[in-house]
Amino acid sequence: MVEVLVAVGIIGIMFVSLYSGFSSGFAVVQLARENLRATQILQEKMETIRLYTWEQLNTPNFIPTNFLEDFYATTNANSGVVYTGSVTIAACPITEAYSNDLRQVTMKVQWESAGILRNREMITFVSRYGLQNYIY
Amino acid sequence: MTLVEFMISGSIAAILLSAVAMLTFYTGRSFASMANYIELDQHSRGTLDQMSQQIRQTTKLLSATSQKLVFLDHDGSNLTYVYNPTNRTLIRQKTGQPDKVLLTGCDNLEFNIFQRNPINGTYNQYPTANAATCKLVQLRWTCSRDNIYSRFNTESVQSARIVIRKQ
Repeated sequence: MVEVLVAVGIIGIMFVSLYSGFSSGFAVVQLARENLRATQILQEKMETIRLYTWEQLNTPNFIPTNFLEDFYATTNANSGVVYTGSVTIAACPITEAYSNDLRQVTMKVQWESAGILRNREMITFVSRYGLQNYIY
Repeated sequence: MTLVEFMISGSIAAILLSAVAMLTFYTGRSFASMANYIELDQHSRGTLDQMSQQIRQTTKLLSATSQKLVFLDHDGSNLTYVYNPTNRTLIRQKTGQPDKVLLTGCDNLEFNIFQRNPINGTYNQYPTANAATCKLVQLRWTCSRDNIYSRFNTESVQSARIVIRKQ
């Protein structure tokens, strides 16, 4: 009887461990996919920053400070995770004389995954005499 | 062992086996989906990276439809991305090089083109129908893979905007 109980206990622990491992693996893959999408969203927003002129960049609300994006980019009844984003355009944290000719653009996205709030961000500098002057 | 004991133990065993079978079924389905997701994301990410790199360094857009883009590449040759809805593939064509299938199992794909001017208070640019004024290309596609349970159970959606640097 003792042997049976011990054996059943060991088998029980093994099965629970096995399926916990599966579950963790699925969660990791899901998070990796959500991370990838978050990176895509940030990249997409960051890509268009170069199209703004210096004046547009410094005009309040010309670039919206908040946005929402779905996990599934196309129209879909099941839009999946919703990403909440923010854009901050601030003075550049440097002490050089040309610091007034630079701005620091910070893009952040937040989403909830498995009950945990996740955050990702990208930061870039934009210069007054830089990218936006390459206009055809 | 009496008949009663045999029946009780048989019932317990049946319940346990059913539970294990259901878990195995569910796990198998999840594994199949996850394998598909990983494969889809891997291909989509690779394609997106390649297209981003190549479109950024093109000289200009020559012609565009919702399923086909033709660029003048940096080396003076034509670079084409064309979606074939029948074969569900996205193909890259470049003068002097063999065609390359970038995506398979592509259920829908759409190209949109935009000018450089941003719209006040949005993240969007003004759309254009004229390839000559195109500065920004938007790509969107949905790929799926068959799995043993249902085809559209596993799908991956990609979206990106790429700025033509030299335009």
